[in-house]
Amino acid sequence: MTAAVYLLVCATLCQANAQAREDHPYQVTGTYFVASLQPALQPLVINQIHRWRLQLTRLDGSPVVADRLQVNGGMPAHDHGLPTGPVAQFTGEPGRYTLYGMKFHMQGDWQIYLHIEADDRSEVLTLNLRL
Amino acid sequence: MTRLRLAAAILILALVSLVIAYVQRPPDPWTEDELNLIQSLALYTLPPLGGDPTNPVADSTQAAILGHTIFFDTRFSATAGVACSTCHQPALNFTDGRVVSLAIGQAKRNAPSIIGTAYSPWLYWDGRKDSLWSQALAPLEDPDEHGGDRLQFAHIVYADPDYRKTYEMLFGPMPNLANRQRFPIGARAAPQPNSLWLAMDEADRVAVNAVFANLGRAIAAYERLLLPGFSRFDQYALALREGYDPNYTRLEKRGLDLFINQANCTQCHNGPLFTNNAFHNTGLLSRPGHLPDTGRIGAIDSLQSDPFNCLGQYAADTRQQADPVNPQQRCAELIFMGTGKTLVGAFRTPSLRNLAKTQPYGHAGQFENLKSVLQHYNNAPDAMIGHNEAKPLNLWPWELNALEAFLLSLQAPPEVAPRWMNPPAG
Ligand code: HEC
Ligand code: HEC
Ligand SMILES: [Cu+2]
Repeated sequence: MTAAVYLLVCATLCQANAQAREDHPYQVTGTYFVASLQPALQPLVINQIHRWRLQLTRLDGSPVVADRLQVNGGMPAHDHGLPTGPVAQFTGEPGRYTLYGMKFHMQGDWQIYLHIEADDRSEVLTLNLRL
Repeated sequence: MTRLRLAAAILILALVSLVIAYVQRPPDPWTEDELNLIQSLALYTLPPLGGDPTNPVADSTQAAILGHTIFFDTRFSATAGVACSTCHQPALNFTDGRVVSLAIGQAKRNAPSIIGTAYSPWLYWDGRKDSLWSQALAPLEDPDEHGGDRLQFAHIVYADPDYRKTYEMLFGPMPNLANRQRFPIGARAAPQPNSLWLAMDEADRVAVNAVFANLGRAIAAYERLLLPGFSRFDQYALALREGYDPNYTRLEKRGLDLFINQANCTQCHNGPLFTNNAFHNTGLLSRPGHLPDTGRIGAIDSLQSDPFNCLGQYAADTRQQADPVNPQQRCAELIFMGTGKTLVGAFRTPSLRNLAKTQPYGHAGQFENLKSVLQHYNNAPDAMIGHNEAKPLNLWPWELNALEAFLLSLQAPPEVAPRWMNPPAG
């Protein structure tokens, strides 16, 4: 039942980020912030550790330098997290981060969460990802 | 009257077999997604082994020869009676057929196969080692296994002209181990450093540790040659891809169907080695009379403090740092290691290739045969500690038979040249 509900929800949301290609990063738009995410691993396959590029902006497109930025994720249907403990690191360029230690160990529906604290606000952006 | 009954019985029997045949029908034709999943399991999709930046001799044949010799050499033990091959026997697909291993003492877990483990970022059931070479050091000093000591091993290599020649060719000159003042017999670094060891010069201890690490590197070079062979399943996958007539039974196909669909096995047993090399709690009972094994969660601290881990001084990288756009950052697995409560009672997913000779199964040899493993997955009991990730399958007995037939179609002799499967000649 929960799986069915999840599938329904996912059918409407998950396709939003079907495949990221070099020129088409995944986009997640929140209330305050927008994340644009690009895995360095192409095609994105399971069981390989790799890094992602992240560009963080406000809704108006201006780059965000976060006070705190955390990344984690998991498979809601399986009730487990990522096999790794990834870390977001500021690159020095405004709004640009590298997510180190990304890895997926199963095929299926994943979610990546970005916990952002910036501009005295906090927001969690969720990326739905099907592998 | 009896004839009528007989006819009725035959009719019912025929109907039942029809129904079973129907529910057990092979899933031909496969959907596009299924075909892709099947290809992702085929051995020919296994990429060549990547280099190991912490092991410069990983692909050296000379190193493999040295490692091969040590693997079978019982002198590398406290009793001169234990070698790696005592518990990793080539004839048993590099296992020992025991519930838990036995050498000088009894080990805590079941001996896994070594075939294909060179592909794993983690070694051991709990992944407490992060490279093949670092793993190889542990049994040599484990009091229940080889029970030896790194300085003893350095002396053996130093005193044996063949060993010493190969060693120095690969790694450069050995320290002057003939000097018994500096390298006293009986100095032990493990399991607890003794006073003789602690009295040695720091530089000499480091030099002995480096020799020890290099012996591990040679063993790893050998183990990297132990790769799985082409099975009936791989043949079927190839036949599907190339469009020729597959030689695969209905039962095996049905088992494959269950494996990738209803039974969810590919959640964890995925990729061409049938493992994601990640840690999962699948609710196995503890070994009778023993507390439940904490598994992965108990390995995190020892991994981080291991002087022979990827970040330690004995793993110093002689080569360039990886390209920044290259996803393979050095030691990334260790640096970004996952932790958390789901790792309580979690063990590394084992490969499912060539299971026929590696019973009993499970981290403590809990299952005598494949049937009992499958029965366990079918019931998916609550875990003794942590949380069982697998859910009950509620499959019919004939479906379990199909799964077993599929697993047995993964049987194949390892793809290893005969010289490496036997003790070195001479
Ligand atoms: C007394 C028996 C015994 C001896 C001797 C022994 N091993 Fe093992 N080996 C085991 C057991 C038991 C395990 C699993 C232990 C665990 O996971 O905690 C294991 C695990 C391994 C693994 C990890 C495989 C995997 O899939 O994670 C490798 C590789 C290995 N041994 C290689 C060696 C080498 C090389 C030697 C010789 C230097 C050796 N072993 C000596 C019993 C033995
Ligand atoms: C949630 C991940 C997961 C799923 C799903 C899963 N397995 Fe496993 N499997 C494991 C782990 C982890 C082990 C080792 C467990 C232990 O020893 O504690 C294992 C062990 C095994 C073993 C024993 C192998 C050995 O060498 O000891 C077999 C056989 C096996 N699984 C087959 C299957 C089959 C068939 C399915 C589908 C019905 C399946 N597994 C589903 C993770 C999984
Ligand atoms: Cu999952």
